[in-house]
Amino acid sequence: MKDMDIQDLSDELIRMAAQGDAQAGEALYAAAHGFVFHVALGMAGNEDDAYEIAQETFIKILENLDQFKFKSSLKTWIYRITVNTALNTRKKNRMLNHRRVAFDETLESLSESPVERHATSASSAQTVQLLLDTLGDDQRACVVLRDMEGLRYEEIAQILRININTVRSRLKRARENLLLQREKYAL
Amino acid sequence: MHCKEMRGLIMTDFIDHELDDAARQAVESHLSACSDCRSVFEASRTLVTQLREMPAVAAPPALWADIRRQWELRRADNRSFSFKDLFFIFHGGRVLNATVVLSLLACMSLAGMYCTGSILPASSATVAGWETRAFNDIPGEQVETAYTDLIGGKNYE
Repeated sequence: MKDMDIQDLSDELIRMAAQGDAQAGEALYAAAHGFVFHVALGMAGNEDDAYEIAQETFIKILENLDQFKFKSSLKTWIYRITVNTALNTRKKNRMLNHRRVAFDETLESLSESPVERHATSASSAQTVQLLLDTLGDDQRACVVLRDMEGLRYEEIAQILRININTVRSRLKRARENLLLQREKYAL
Repeated sequence: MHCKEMRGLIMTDFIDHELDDAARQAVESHLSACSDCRSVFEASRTLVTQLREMPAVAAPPALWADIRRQWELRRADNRSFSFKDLFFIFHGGRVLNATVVLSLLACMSLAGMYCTGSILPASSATVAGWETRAFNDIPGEQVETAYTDLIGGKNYE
């Protein structure tokens, strides 16, 4: 099935998906899976957890689509479910603690070969993920939505249901933390 | 504007292109004069670029198949009878739930009082200063107590 943009999905198709139509559900998945998986990966830091988050997110979307009132943007609604699912999954799996341990261990191994460390884009991506793992959930959600998804402050505020100034302060503190970690470990 | 406040703007609105032209020019003018703030800007810009250039990873092809299987299983479960369905009224918000629970408790209390004969005894009406009359026109053994003050003092006997 050809991937459509989420904004191009008709209300009729969304209603059909809400009633359990598999083809309409697949069209919705095709339009949303790109950004859902991207956010899930940014929040989780690894593909296995991102898979679990994306799966749970789409189940929630499809099961609760009949409650979508068409008053707000479907994309914002899906982003909100994705971030909430990711936050709940992180809490459930206690991922933060695991990742912090992994961060320290990986830094030790990385510091042994600083030249090889930045040799490929994959290791650079790994460095970014390790840095993201040092952030708290709230700050991480803002960084993922702004820097990885390119959303505006207003959209982030709507998704996270917070004040726009809270978005600013979380982004500022997150970036300060990331710069500090980068400097500390010379990444 | 001091460097501390300026850095707040540099690390957020300025780098994210959220400022209007006037504010943007003010930051640019400060950056051209302040090397400390310029180094904060450079470091922040490098960091943000690094984050934005993270390679996109496609969702695994098996994801939709897994989602669809689970979606269909859950829909099949929802169609079958479940004891959970009996409690569907509790799926609402907290206020709704509290209202339902309090209403049920009130109904149960009233029913209990009615069955034990303690509900609205004639003595309580006398204490309150109301005159009690009996509905004698109701056939059979049924006799109800009327609070004549409440119904305008008319005699319905």
